[in-house]
Amino acid sequence: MPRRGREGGDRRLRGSPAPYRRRSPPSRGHLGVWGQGLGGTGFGRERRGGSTRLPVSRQGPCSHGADRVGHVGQRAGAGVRPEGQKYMTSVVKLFGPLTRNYYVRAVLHLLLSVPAGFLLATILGTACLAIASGIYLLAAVRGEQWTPIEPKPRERPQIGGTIKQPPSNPPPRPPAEARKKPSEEEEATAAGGSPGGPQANPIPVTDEVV
Amino acid sequence: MGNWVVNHWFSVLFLAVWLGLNVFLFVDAFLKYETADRYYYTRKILGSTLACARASALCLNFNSMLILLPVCRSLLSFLRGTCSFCSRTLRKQLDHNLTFHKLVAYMICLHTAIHIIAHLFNFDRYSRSRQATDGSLVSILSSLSHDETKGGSWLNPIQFRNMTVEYVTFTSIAGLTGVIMTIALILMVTSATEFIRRSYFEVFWYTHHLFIFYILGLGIHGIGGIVRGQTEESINEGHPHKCAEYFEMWNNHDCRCRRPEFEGQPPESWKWILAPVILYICERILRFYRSQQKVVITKVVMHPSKVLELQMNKRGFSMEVGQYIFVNCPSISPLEWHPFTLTSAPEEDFFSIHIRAAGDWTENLIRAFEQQYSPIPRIEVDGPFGTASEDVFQYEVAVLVGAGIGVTPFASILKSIWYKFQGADHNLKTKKIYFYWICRETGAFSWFNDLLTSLEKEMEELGKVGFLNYRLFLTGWDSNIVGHAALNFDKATDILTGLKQKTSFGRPMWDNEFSTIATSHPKSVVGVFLCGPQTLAKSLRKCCHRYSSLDPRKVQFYFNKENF
Repeated sequence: MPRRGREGGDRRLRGSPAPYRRRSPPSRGHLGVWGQGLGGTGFGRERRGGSTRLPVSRQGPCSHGADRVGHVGQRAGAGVRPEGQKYMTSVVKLFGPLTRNYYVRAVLHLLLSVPAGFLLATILGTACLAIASGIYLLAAVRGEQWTPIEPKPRERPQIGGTIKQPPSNPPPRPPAEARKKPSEEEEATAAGGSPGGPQANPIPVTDEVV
Repeated sequence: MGNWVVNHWFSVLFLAVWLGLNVFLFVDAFLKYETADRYYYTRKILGSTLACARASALCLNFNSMLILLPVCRSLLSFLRGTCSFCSRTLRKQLDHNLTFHKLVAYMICLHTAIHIIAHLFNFDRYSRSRQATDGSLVSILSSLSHDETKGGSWLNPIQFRNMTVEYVTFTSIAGLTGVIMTIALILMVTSATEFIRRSYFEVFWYTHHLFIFYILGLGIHGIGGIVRGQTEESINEGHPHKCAEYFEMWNNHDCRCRRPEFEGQPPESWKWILAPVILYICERILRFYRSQQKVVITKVVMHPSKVLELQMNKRGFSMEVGQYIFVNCPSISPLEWHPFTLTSAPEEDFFSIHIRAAGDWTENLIRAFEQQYSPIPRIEVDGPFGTASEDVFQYEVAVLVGAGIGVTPFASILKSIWYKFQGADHNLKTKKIYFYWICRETGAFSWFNDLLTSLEKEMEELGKVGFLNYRLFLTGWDSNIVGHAALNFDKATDILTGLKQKTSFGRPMWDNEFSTIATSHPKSVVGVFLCGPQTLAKSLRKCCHRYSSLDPRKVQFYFNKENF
């Protein structure tokens, strides 16, 4: 699967809406009058409830709303990021507000475009830099600025961390109040983060009442 | 290596022919301008850069003709339909139209660069020869008058001594259109990079319409006739090889050599681009006409995880499996068309698409449909357009791999199989289907689960349990899910999906899968269809090459990737 969280690169921070990832989980099928349709066939049935409670996650740069992947416009900076910008990012970060601000960049590009305009051979360079300056100006007016993309530290699950310790004392086990101290310490250090409480169950136990 | 050749020979041949034509045209034009007598005097001023510029101009004409053709979707669909008797390899080539479009674009960029550099030299040399006062051949040639009464037989387009090259560039038609075309080309190419296409598609789409300026500019670029060659009669009167040395005496009446006369070349770009432009205009008119036809939305279903299903009807709409349509919603954005694979089967009396929210347009669309008390937005549909999935039933054994949302074309295929079995269509060439569905979590595809459940049931009823062999792979698993699965191991149905087939966790091991398929079908042609990310395509392609035997009678794996 393609890697998430690539490093470096320009990401434009927009003032407004948060990416949909952070919204509350979508409400279930609320079709209303449309749900009946005109005699649906086998596959048009509405779902009345989510079948799983798994979190909705993005599927990497290839998943879009339109399944013709790579076509639908995504949110700014979401998904595909240009590679190989790690070193540039660290250099550009050094200058702080001078490089972060898009007004400064617009003026800089405009100034750079002037010397090239004096010679016919470089006049295309002038045109391109002037257009770039215009784009930065437009972005600056809209309140965008440069934010470096840091590589997200990928959480590597500890090899031993997910191994949950079975209960160290065999049944019948005493109630919580009479819990032995040494075994509690043992469990706490060994499991390293398993949920606390009188009894840490390795697999979540649900009371299956049919 | 052998397998690669077998699978790609047509692409290689096609590209070789295209490159060969480019090289041939370039060299041919270069030699023509470098050796012809007509341009003898022109070459005296300009040198070899004249030939460079003209050769690259010819290649530009050729490639500009080619660049519009791969994007005429309807034309390609038409070719696909009429070529059903053609071999699979030829039709597969039509899937790679966008790759070819990009290659031709790169060639245009290369030749534009050569052309511009050569003409910069040319202008500079013309300017210098205009300013030369030493009475050399070049200065005499340059001073040939622009006076219309004498037939305008000038050579040097720079009329006056104080005219700068910049002035000429921006006041001559060729110069001005050249600058406009080049800026349009630069903007088009830079906005078409993958990053911008995937993140800001609208920017790409609207900027790419600058091609109109490019084509118009190309049509009128040569009107001024700045490239001048000697006229026929002038050559007959005084051949340059004889007369060039006596240039000082051209004004004398008793000299046999007269002043040479020049004429400009008529523009020829329009001849190259006329036909493709007409085809493209027809294509756009057809798309517009199709989009104006009324689309009736018969059902709207909101699935969990923000998946919207739209079932629609349109007069005269007929589709095949795995085709896609372009959808426009004028109330959201009047000019944006987005492609969606059809998820319904051709046997149904409606056509449907499933839209997932990821991006501005799709989110707005879903929000618009969620409003229960406002009228349903109008939808325009263009299509359907064909892709590789149409070929699924041409293979005896088909391996379908859908990753994430890439499962949608296979929804259409599987539904079609369902209907075919219901209608007892036993003429299906396909004898076995292996379906692999890989996704991170199944919540967004619960609608697909329904389909698989019905298929399971039907296969059991008909006693054809072996026909459809599917496996689901959940790659985004954690210990909780595995714990659940372990606890429910002996249940008949899978806890996550409710299907009889248990979900596997992690990614499939393709080597195992392919070797199993190869051993169970030793003499068949197996079609592998993928709808998913590039990395998966690479590994599948490798496996196809590895497990196809070199003997064409034994098992052969053909890889088809959806065009994304």
